Amino acid sequence: MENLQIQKTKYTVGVNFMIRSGLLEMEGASYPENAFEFFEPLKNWLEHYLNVINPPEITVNLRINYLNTSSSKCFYDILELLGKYQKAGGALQINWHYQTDDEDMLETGKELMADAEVEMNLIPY
Amino acid sequence: MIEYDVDELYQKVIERVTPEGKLLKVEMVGLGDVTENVLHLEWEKNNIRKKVFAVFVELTQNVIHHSAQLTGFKQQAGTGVIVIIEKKNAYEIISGNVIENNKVQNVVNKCEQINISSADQLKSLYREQRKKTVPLDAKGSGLGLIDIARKSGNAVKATIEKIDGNMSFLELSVTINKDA
Repeated sequence: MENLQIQKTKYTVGVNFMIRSGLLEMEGASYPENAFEFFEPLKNWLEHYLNVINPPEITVNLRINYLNTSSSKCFYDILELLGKYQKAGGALQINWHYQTDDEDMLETGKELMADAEVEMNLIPY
Repeated sequence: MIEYDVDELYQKVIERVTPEGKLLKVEMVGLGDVTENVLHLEWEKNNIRKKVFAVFVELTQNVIHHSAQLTGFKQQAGTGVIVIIEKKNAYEIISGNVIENNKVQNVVNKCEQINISSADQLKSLYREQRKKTVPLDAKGSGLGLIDIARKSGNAVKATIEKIDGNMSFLELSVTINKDA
């Protein structure tokens, strides 16, 4: 298994998943032509990381400023995965960073947290 | 399959546009660079700009995924038009594309359901739909139209014009009020 790093583009988030440090970061806007295609490898990577590698500690930093609807669905699926890991007792902390005046992203964070049954810290920047 | 000229599609949409509107952008929706020329509307309030942008993105995705007229590499992306019109008190965003007749009823039903829902109902509808497992062959999440209605606060108007025994022209139109 290797670190997963994807350069940010106008339509896709930057991804920085580091195996050793347990630091998993996504940043930017997401509205690719096919979101499922983009996020599928990320989900597979995470599933393997959580279930097989099972690291001692994980910190997830999400700093997102726009999600189209199919990206929002993919984020839901990823957060659901992380939520299950938390519930099973895994040491996993998620920080949802949003711009101070961006009520949409704050609301999105709250809704995702409730719907995907996951614990997140909502942090303005 | 009959090929429909994109200019002809564009004309169909424009014919319906009222003269009071100022045409801001016509996007020929094709493969890849669909949102390359994303609207900036620097003069507009932040929240309105975001709403117009989001509706633009969702309508574009609808065209790419559901248009019956395919183009591009491996003929994978749908073709259609997206038109944004600035009016005195609102923006109107319109998508136009060809769809199979057997898909028409589904779109009409979805719009009907959305248009009778309150803001709170739309919110629940969105959140429930997002929890559903997406079928393997699905291209979208089934959230686009709900989101468009949530963001615009207005009805999603579907206009259908039958082309022949197999195909129809579908126009979806959404208004975003400037004082929203």
